[in-house]
Amino acid sequence: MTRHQVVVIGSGAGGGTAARTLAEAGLDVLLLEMGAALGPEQMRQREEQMIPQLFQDAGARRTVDQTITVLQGQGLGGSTLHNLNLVKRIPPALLEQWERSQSLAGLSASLTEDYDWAERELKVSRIEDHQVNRANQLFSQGCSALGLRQARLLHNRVGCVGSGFCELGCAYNAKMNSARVMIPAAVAAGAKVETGLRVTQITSRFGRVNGVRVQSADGRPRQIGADAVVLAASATSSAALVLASGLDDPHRRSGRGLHLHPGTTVAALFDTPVKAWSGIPQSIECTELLDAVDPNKRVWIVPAFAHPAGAAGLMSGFGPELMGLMRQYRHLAAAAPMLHDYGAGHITATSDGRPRIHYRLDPGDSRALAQGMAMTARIWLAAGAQRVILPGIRPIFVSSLAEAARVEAWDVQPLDPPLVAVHPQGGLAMAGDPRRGPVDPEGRHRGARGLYVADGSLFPSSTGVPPQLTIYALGRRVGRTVARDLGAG
Amino acid sequence: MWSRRRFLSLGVAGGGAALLLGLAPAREVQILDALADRLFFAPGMPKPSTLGAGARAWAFAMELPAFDRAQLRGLLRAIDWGPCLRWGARFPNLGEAEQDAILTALCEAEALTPRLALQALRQLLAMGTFTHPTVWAAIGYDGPTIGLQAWEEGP
Repeated sequence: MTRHQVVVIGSGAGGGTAARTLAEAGLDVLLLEMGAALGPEQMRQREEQMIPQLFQDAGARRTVDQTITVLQGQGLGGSTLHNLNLVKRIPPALLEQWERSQSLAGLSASLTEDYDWAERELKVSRIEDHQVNRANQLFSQGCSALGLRQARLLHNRVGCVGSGFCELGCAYNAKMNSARVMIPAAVAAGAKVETGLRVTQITSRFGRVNGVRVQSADGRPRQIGADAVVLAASATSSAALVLASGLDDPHRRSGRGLHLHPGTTVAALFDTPVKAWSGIPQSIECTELLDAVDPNKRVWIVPAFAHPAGAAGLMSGFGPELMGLMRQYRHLAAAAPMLHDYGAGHITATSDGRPRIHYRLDPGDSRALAQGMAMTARIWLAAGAQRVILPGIRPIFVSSLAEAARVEAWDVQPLDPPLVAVHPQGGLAMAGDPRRGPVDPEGRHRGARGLYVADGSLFPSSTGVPPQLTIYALGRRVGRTVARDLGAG
Repeated sequence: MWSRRRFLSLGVAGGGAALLLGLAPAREVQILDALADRLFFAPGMPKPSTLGAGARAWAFAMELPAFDRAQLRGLLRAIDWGPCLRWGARFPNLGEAEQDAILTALCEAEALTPRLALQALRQLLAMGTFTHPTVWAAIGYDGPTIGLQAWEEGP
């Protein structure tokens, strides 16, 4: 059995950053990743080749009722390999709410320093004018015509060619992500990395972790010893591992408070070609219906697009009605109203540590989603779209603002419209009060000494914004905690 | 007359019986090809089966977790054998109108399960169909871009 001071589970924004922080503090670190190490030369820009490599369960992970697709990354770099590189801090009002509701005094000030550090390391910049593709220009024009609140987004790319294949991994190595920034620094500081290993259990003795049990791709089990274990396997997978490991949890909070940020796709057909697959997929946001702490405003709207197989799979209907749209693929744009969801689901685990995701939209979220779809339809029409296509059981076509307004009355039901979640959060919330969350404010899981959490599981609520920057920042914060507890740094 | 509900329940029963018979992958590819030809049919567009859509979709399906693969096999058996009860023929041997009637029943069912089944088939077969350069040309998609220069490097 090999043994290390710290084993980090998961190599995404949280795990990669924690591993770097720990290695730079002089600790003996092993970083474990269930997927493969993929370089830019292996990002082939082909959906059928990349999706099984970059997404857990080949992109087919779903909620238990199978109605919501939950996309979660794998591969050395985790979800930062396929994400769309949007960088947003959690709004101060929400952090203040977390401080109050979760007894997290000082979180906001501490996180600011780590945000600053992460933005420097990731070379965060504003997406420039010439990088805004036509779909995003149209979206912005629509927002302007309606007088809606919009903003240019920040991103972490350097050397971007605007290929538009971000979600299939960058063949140009332009993503300043965990794989390019954090993991190389961790390795340079002495961290070891093993890929193709899935952790099935966190092992403990007398209330203290002593390692992890892993399984290789061919199914062979192995035990790795550790003084400390940092869980950064993603919201859903981290909670599932805690539950499958039978750790102490007197208030039964592990796995609770899961938020998915679910969204749907509203497409639009224009008279002239849009080629929405080309260029940076998301550079403009509409925040007219979003406020971090006002439950009456819980929808974030951003352009979204998929390559042909993904686009056809997301559409509704079949035969000529579906193909009539795919034939006009060059003329299509799309945007996603995504919920800053107030309703919460929970995680359970299979015996080998895989997550089972239980989640249904609550009535307030359902109403907000309908409102978001209607607003998105209005934006596209105001931008000059010939018609807007909503993903009902059959495609629903909207050609006027009056028709778009009626979308607000949509009775949202499971699979109507189909939902996709790309930002799962929560499940192992941090809280000063053990009754409010299983993890303490510094990242220590209360179920076993030596166990830490450093990913989006820590969020006590939905953030309403892409989570990656906050996860990088928390990875550093929790890494410091571990180093301090082990007497290093 | 057959109600959709009755049709689907018999289809599922037929699929259950088929579980006992088993299917070779070649048969599953044949069913997938037949499904792709109806799901993604449009005049003037390439026929997915002639491009090997079923085989590519099956290859993609082999990347799915074991549970999903088992569900897919069960679903394909149900679709393959279910029509025997009404039309006396398996799905790939039906006429286009009958095949479309089955897909319409899945698409418009009140129950969630048939609609989930259609969504799963659409997503899987899209992966088999819309990953072929011939289809890219037909829909005006440029395909992979490997080889572009970085903006930052200038022309």
